Amino acid sequence: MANKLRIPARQVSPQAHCLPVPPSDFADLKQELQTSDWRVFQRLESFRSLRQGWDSYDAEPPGDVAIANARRILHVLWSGEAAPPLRQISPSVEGGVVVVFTGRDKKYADIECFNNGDILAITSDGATEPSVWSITKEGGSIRSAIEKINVFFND
Amino acid sequence: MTERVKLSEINQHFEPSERLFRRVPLVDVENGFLSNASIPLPVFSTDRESYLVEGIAGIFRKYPEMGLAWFCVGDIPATLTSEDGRRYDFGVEHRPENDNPAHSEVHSYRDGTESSGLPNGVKKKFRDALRLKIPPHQMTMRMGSSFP
Repeated sequence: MANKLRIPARQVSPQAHCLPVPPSDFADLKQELQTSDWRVFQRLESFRSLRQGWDSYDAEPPGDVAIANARRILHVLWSGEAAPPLRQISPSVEGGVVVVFTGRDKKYADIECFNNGDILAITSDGATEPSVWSITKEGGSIRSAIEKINVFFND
Repeated sequence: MTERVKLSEINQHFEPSERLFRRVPLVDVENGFLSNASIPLPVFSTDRESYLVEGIAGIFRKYPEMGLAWFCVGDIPATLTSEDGRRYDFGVEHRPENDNPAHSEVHSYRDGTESSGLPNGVKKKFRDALRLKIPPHQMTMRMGSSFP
């Protein structure tokens, strides 16, 4: 059973939900989440059904560690007062999960959770050298990264 | 078609304007937005335009559930530097396969030799740089679609 996410309502772009999602096994959690957040969560869980080569080449499917870390990120993201604009959550062809944010003027950020447990964040404005940094799975580190991304989008 | 490719047909000359095609998740095409998550490193497969025998439709033939994106050879970042100052170069190599003469691979190099241990930070920068070269009109999802 998943850790319960105690999360306030948060609007997520409908574009974040483009793949079919599996039937829910998380009835309690579903009641706690806003519909759009629930769909994001279901999409993340759907990555468990991906197989080796899911990208039509030879990509690894997201592993349990990557999915668990992505859940931590969603937890922190949805628990905060202000969250950067979540664009989509995707399996990574590098093996893992990527939580993607976009803003105006080509501003882009993501947090990538690799299957080996590494977590890397990036902010990019499309014009200058992107900023890349490592974070840990601890709530404080994730919160700090999300705040940094928020500042980047509001700058 | 399986006999078409011979070693003599390997052509390592790429014009910077030659297009390289890569299948991408359908969700990226539907969103009109290529995610960094869809670009792998240190090596990834593409199909070079000048050797496509069945056109773009051939790239989809076995994978109609996938989308397709293209970029030019000249869009590949030539060089990136890691946080600790190590320099990595990138380029494309023609690696034809028996059933796919167009098969080519983007590779990364350090000091002129293949680099398998690319730092994650360099990977992220590469993927971001290439993503920026693939706007929505350079992606499609329909078998038999053609690009502008």
